[in-house]
Amino acid sequence: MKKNLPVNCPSCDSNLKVQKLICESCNTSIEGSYKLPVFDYLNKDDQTFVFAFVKSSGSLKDMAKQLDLSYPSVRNMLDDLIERLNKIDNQLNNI
Amino acid sequence: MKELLFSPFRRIAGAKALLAGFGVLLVSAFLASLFGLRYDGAIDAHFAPSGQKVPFLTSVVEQFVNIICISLFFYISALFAGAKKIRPIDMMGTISLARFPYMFLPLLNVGGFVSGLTESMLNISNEEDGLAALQDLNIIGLLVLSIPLIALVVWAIALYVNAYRVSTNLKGSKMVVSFILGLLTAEIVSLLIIRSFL
Repeated sequence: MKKNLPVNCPSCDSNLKVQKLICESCNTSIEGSYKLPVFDYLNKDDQTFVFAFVKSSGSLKDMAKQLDLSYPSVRNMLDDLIERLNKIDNQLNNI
Repeated sequence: MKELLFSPFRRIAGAKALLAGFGVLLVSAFLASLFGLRYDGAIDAHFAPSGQKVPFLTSVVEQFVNIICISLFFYISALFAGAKKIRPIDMMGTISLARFPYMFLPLLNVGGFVSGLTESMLNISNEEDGLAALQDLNIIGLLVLSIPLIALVVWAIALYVNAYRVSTNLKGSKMVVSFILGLLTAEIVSLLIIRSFL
C-alpha cells in the first residue's frame, strides 16, 4: 500500500515538520526539527505537473501536447502553481 | 460535451483557434450575405430590410472589425486589471472562435422571416389601433424568434467569457469588471467604425 506523506496537522492544520529520520540499513536514528521541502506541501496533481514540467525540459508547448491542452491553459496552470508555491514558501518562512 | 460547447479553449487556442475562427468567419459571412444579416457590432447583429443585399465582402470586413475591436479592448482591459503574459494570438484566436454561435444567426432569417416580421410590425404600428393589431398578429412570431436569438447570444457571451479567462488567467471580480468594460468599449467602437465606414 502506498502511503501519502502527511504535511498538515490533522488536528489544527498547521504545517508539520520532520522530527525523526531512520537509516533502515543500520537502524541509526537522528532526531531534530527539520522542515519538509516546499514541493512536499503541494497536492498530488501539482506534484505530477511539476514532474512532467521538469521532464519536458520546461517546455510548455511540449506539456500542452502531452496533456492535450491548449498552450494558455498549461501556462495558466503553471502561473497558479507558482502562486501556490509562493504562498507555501511565505507560510514556511513565517514559522 | 459541455466543455466542447462552452470552453473549447481549454484544448484549443492560439493559431489553431485563429484558423478555426477564420473558417467560422467565412461561413458566417456567406450565410449573412445569403439571408441578409449585418454583424454591425461586437455583440450586435441586425437583419437587413427585405430586398437589401449584404455583400459577402462587407460581412467579412464587419467581422474582422468586430474581432479586432474585441481582442484589442480585451487586451487593454486585461492589462489594466493586472494580467501578465497575454499572447495576442491567444486572444485573437479564442475570440474569433468564440463567435461560432453568431454563425447561426442568419439562419433565423431564412425566407426573409425576420425582415418580413419587422416590416409588418413597423407598418402596423403606424396605423390607427396599431398597438392592438401588433399584439394580435406578431406576439407569437416574436416569441418564436426571441428564444433561439437569446440562446445564441448567451452562448456567444459565455464563450467570450471563457476565451477571456483562458487568455488572461484573471479571476474573480477583476475578471468580471475588466471583461464587461472591455466588451462594452469594443461594442461602442466597432459600432461606430462599421456605421461610419461600411
